[in-house]
Amino acid sequence: MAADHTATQLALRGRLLTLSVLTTGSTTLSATSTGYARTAGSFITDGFAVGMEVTPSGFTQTAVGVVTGVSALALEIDGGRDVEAAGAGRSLTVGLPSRMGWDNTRLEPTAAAPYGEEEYVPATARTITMPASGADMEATGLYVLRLYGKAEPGISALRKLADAILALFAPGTGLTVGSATVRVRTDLAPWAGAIRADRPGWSVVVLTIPWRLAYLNT
Amino acid sequence: MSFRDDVARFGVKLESQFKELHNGVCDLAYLSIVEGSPVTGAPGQRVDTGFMKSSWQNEVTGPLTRDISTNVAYAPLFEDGTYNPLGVGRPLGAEKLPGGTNRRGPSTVGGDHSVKLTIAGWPRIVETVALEVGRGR
Repeated sequence: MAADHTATQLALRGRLLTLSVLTTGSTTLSATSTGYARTAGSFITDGFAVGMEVTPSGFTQTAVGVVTGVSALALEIDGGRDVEAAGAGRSLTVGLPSRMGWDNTRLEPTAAAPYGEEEYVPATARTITMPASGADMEATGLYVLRLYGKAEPGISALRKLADAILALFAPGTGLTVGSATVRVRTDLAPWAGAIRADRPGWSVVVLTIPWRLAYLNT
Repeated sequence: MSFRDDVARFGVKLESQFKELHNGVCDLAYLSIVEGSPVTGAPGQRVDTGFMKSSWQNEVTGPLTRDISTNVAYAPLFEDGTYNPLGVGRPLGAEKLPGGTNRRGPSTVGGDHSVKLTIAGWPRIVETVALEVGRGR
């Protein structure tokens, strides 16, 4: 069996899609013409930051929105929201940007929203036991993620997103790929680079997740 | 020939092989970054004018230290794949045709991530060179 790179990439992507950066948890929230409001708790304490993309739950309007301002009791959203009275059992969550350029797909980023790009980079493969027939095999490579966010609001939105992904792909994390296993390498742990200026109005941070796939040469 | 002489000769041989290992590892790492290598899977540098590829230096900075570097400002963009093959100021999204590894660019050789792949392949670089040194290449 050759290394199943399709399944490996999908396994890594599947893990990425479970990302949760932060959330208000289930609480009482209202929607306002400028964003969201609460009377208890704090958006600041929850970790919200300008440039993050929030996904509302429990509201009539469930479209994602980009944070443009944060105070303890109010979260400003680009373009505002449809007004809804306070209601319990609602939440705001930050996860993976909804706009992701998955490998070999067309990405149409919009000017105001963060987005990401995925790149699966197979590197090497070799037998690690003998004889070759039926030998244990090892393939290695990188899972590279480029995260783009608005320039100038500071480090929090991009860095918290990167940190959450690094936590999701902790060294040694194992994912089943059919009868094989792909693991996040432990001898070279995943890392995030510097937040760099990209084209005007944008910043980017690049994450590198080294992986090792163990499979059989059958 | 005393035992002391044997130990002394062994020490000289060991030191010689250690330097050989160091030089071999540094040269292979440099090769991996610039030209690409099957040892690491790195594709090497993209080439348009050759300016960036030729900018990579493999400088001896001490008895057991090397500095593999480039001073080209846009090198990180090519390394990480955030570069813009269509030129600065292109319309938003124009560079994503399509995204991921299928970007359009001026080069038909080389690729992105060669530094990262070389770092990730470091154990194999050392292993490969150590085998060669052990065989008395």
